Amino acid sequence: MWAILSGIEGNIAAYEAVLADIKRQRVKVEQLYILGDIVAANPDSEKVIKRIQNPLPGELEPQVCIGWWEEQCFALHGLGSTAEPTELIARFGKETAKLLWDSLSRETVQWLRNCHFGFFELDCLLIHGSTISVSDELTPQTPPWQMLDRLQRVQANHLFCGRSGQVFEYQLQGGSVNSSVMTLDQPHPVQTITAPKRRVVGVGNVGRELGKATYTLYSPYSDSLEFKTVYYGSKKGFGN
Amino acid sequence: MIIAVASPPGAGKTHWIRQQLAQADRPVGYFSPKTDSVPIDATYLQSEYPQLKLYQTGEEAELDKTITYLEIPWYLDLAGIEPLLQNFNSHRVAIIPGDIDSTELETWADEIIPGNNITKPTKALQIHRGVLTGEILDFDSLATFWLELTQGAYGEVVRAKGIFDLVDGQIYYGDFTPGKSELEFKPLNLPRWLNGKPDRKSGFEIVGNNLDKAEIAQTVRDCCVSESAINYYQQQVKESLATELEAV
Amino acid sequence: MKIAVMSCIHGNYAALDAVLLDIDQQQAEKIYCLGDLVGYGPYPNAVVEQIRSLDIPTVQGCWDEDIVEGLNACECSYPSLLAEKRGKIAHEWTNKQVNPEVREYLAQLPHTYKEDNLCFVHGSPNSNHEYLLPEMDAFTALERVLSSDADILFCGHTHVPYVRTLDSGQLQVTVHQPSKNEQPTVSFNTPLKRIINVGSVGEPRHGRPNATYVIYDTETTAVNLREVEYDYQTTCAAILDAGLPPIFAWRLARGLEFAEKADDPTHVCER
Repeated sequence: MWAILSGIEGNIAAYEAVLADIKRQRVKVEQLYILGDIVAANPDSEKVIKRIQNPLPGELEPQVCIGWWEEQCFALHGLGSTAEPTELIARFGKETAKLLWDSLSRETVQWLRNCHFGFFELDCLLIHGSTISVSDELTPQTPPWQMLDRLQRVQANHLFCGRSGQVFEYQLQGGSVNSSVMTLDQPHPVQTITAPKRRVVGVGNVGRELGKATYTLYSPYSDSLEFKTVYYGSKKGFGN
Repeated sequence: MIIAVASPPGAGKTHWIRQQLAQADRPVGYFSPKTDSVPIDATYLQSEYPQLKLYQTGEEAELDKTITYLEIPWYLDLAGIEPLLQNFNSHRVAIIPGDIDSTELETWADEIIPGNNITKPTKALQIHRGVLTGEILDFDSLATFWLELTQGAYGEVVRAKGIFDLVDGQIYYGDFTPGKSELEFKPLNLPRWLNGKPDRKSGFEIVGNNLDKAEIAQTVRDCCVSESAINYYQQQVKESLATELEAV
Repeated sequence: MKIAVMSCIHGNYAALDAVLLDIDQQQAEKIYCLGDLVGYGPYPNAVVEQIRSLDIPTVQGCWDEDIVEGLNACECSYPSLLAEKRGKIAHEWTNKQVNPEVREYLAQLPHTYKEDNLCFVHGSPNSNHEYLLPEMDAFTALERVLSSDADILFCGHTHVPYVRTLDSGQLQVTVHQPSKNEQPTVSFNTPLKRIINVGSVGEPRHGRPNATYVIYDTETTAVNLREVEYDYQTTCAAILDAGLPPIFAWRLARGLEFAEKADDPTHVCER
């Protein structure tokens, strides 16, 4: 069983609550994937990093890849693919950029820089945004053509992502298209191309909504998928 | 016993020797004079027959320790080889294409074998040789160059062959004779070289007319991986080989 | 209305001239250009000035972009080391030749241009480096047209013209969300879409030296892949005179380029 989460966003209490929930599972969780957005403009971001870097005895070593917030850090520190954190400032403003800068040490940013862009395991791509970029937000409303394109870019049948923060299972049940090509020298006959069954999973978000964390359990062997909701802190006792 | 083999360029000497090697049941050797700097045929034959004994210039006295095939490059004067042949018990084989009139070879030979038809060269042939030992080439670049070369971008080519160390660590054999159309490149059955600059011989030999030697040299240089990038490529190959092993 | 669409002129003035004459004879009412006005060929300024003087709506090609922004293409946009070395020589030569007005003109070119249900791009709607090859997966190709929000996507960049018709596209989708009730399977359908690759005016790679472009009739939707003979020897001689690599002239005379096919044509560099 894999536990897949995304978007801790510096919320240490939420991360602790999810870790506790993982420990409570009847089926043993063998792998813990964190699909980016570990940090955010949140003063506790360093604490989350330290917690991830130093799992307690008996805890899993998390597999971490970078997310949208990490990419903004790289831009702020001049380590990214863009020279300026333009996306960050456009969405959250300069105050937030300053807060993000203050939240993380240079050393931590360097550590994040060494994280993967995503994981490809057993026909599953695990990534923050999509095969295009960390900013690519796939949701239940994304057109299926676009979903299929993102899957085909890596030849994976299952894509797990976290940018939208939503939990969802988007199943491409199949499809077809007729294609014909005419060149200078000859026309080629019409071909019908079919699309195989494929799936995109939104794994939820741990830290953005105070008191409520969502994450995903997946067994690549039995192909069973389960979305988990964990209430913690002041909201504990309500809901489930 | 020495079996001396001569023919015009591209008529099939190496090909014939290879056929003989396939049938050999005793230790066999191979020597081709004046090809030490770029031993294309020798490398090719040895990759196919690892037990083949290769003789170098200076080892001529020992040639009769095995049954030795002596491949005489077409540009060597037969008279110059004669003293060597006189020293040993030798058999002379000439490979002569049907449409070529070659009195000199016919007189010289003990045995005549019909060869590949070749385009009759109209002018005096030029030969351009390049030593690439230590260099690693990029496959797509080499394929582009080879296609341009064989289609006449650098002059009329009658024959082109070479051995090239490529980024995947393998050494490739390329062989072109006009009319035999398709691009023939294949990796030789020799160990991969994945630790720095290859310390084994590689290079090419082009025979033709009006060859633009300067352009050929420059283009081949542009196909080579820079020294600083060699390690990067080799690392990648090692990693992908390791993954393949895991998958198995 | 008949329109003419051309691409990849690459500083080949003789070819452009012949194509413009053919367009006139075909009585096309409007001309569009998909970029790569410069690079490889000997007359970058003259080509740009001609396109400007005719007020032809034009998008920016990858070579045009490099002249404006400096050579920023990463090595992955070259299919081989040899192509990279040659590309750099051509870029540097062109960079020295172009005059400031030409550079300014190339700088303001848009990446995409839309008119009604037609979209004009150099490579693909994603990037002017992406190759839309005729053998590309049909769903991927369909996604590119859909992302352009048009019915007809005109592109160039590969230097080999083709028309691809994508019809009756459909995909079935089921979405489960824990917060919502079970949802039915939804079928998504697309109307007829087309990719029209207009080939190359100045550096054709279809196996003959003739210039290629496309005439499209917006009423009948008929596509005519045009192949125009011109005096390519003039351009070849000018390439040699200019001191550009002689191999460019050799290629031009054959309409061949073996190297320009990247391993992964859809690869878009992150940089």
